[in-house]
Amino acid sequence: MKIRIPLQDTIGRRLAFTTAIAVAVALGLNALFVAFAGVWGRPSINETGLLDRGGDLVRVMEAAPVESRQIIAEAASNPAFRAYWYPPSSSVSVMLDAAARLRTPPDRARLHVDGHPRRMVGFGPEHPIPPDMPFRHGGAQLGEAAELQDGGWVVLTVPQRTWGLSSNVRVGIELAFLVLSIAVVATAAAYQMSRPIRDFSSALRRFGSDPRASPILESGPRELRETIRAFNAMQAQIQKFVDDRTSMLAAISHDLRTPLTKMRLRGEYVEDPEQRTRLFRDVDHMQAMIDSALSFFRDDIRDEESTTFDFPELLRTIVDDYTDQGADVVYHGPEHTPFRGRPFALKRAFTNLVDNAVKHAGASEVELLGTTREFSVIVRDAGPGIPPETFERVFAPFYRVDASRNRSTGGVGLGLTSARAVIRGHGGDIVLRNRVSGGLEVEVTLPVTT
Amino acid sequence: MTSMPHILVVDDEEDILSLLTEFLRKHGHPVTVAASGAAMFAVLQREQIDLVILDIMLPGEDGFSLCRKLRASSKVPVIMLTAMADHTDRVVGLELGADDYLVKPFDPRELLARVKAVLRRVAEGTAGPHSTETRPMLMFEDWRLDVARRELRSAANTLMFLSGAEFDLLLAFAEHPQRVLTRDQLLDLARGVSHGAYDRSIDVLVSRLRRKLEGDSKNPSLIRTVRNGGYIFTATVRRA
Repeated sequence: MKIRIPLQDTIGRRLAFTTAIAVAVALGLNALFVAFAGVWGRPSINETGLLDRGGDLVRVMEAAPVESRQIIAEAASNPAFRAYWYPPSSSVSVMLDAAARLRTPPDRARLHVDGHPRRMVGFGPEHPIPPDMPFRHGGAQLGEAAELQDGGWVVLTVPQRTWGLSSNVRVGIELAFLVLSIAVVATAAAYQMSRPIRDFSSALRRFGSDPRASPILESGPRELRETIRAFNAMQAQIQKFVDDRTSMLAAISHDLRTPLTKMRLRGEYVEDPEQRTRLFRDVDHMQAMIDSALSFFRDDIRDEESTTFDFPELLRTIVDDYTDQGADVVYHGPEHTPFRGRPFALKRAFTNLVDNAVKHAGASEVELLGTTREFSVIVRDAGPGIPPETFERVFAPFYRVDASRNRSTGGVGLGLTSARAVIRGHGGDIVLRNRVSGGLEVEVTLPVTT
Repeated sequence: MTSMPHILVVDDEEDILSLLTEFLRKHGHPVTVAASGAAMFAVLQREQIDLVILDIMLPGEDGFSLCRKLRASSKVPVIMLTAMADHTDRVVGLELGADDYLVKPFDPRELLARVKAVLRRVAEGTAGPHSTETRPMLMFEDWRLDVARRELRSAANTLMFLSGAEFDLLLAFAEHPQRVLTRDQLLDLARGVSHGAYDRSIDVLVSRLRRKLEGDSKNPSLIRTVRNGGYIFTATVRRA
């Protein structure tokens, strides 16, 4: 039978898991330190060369006559090692003999001569050389004593401590490992845990400016995944609501075209040319309003594909259109620069901006500044400008700066709304400011994507 | 006097049918009407029709599907009417083989101009029924002119913006390459210029086309001015 352990990815479990990992890593690091830097951190007696030297010395001593052993000991001493010889039954030999009875050194620290272990006493950090021993001088900590066959003893010490760490330093290093590994593991885990949260918050921001943003991928701990699921459901509801409203309004705008077509055709039979012209103007005006509403909803629908197009010519085609209608619109900027985006949506957006300028100031200036990272388009006019407190409100649908203004100036108050929707849909933004010299300046920034 | 082209109008709105009939008859065209796809095919079987004006929004089978069926059996030119000012709608219509496309509400005189232009183009053989497979694509120098999509793209596939009038003029040039065309001829050939663009002189449009198409617009080579004549489109045009 297969047993399934319900392992849910919750924030609490993540925290526990992280702590466990941190501790395990700390222990692992310490073990690695001991394994690879052990000689340096805590040398064992055989890695110092003491045992080899001791073995040689024992052999030499035993081969030499007793009288010369003291001389050999002196001759074998150098600044790094110091050798001593104690004859059998001397007080030091007796003490060493007693010490050797008390504790046997571990195998790895055993001194062997011709393959046979010798009775010996090892000295190290755990078993310091007793203070009453005559060979304890120069602060020697490491040492060994080995028994000769005649009962005498040979002692080798390392008077200068040239390696090994004091236990304080060693504990310090171990602590540092612990702190470091916990810090690293915890940072990585916190990053891992906060990344989906950060993704989530940036997705929320994106939704704020673009209600059509695609649903957020469910990831991260369970609590967060549940939150994302709830958010996605809410977003889908809002989208459906917007879609319903949009398709209803689009249908109304659409249906209005049939009666307008009839009016246009009937107009042909109006005898009075003056009245006919006026009728046609009314029809044109209504059509313009329907077009702006429809294009706004269409931008909402997003059916246009991105393509590379000549950005300056998009602006210049708009400028040409207005020039043909007698407006004073000029273009400044580079020629023939490719840009990737939705060309017709952007054309509608910039047409709306130029149209506003022409309507309120009679003239406009369009300037393009392009860098490799972003394009910036500034549409300036020398009109009356608008009060700074309305800078945000003008982007609201159906908002008009001057409510009493004759509606025949055209549009239904969707120009800026739809322009901003298009530009934000491209990841850009639109900013208004009044010029010092009078007039309004609209700056559009669009990031360059490849 | 030769008989005027016979036009079939297909729309489900009775008012529009009667108003269009009256308008077109006033300008000399015999007109037959149909309120549905079935009625349209019945009329086409019965009578000699020179041009069909087809509304997209029809009850039952829509205009797109009717246009495709029509193309399968007949070469009669089609102008589609739609209530959608949508770019994709037009592309679909033209790709299905319509010869032109008009958005409601339209200026009836513009409809008349388009009718004339389509009939003339069909007579000249420069435009005929196209289907998706043979979507006309005119190639010259580094440019590709997609007639159905009304798009001009460079070799690097960068879309070049053209106004309606600029496109129509470029199409007129590309359909009559290496021939001196007078301003009057161009005005006549470019159907877009023949309506609503009276104030835009051909010269202005040519200078804009040069700016868009030529590397050095001060020293034009693609569209050359012929002294006392007009203009000549110098490139070799390939069709694909």
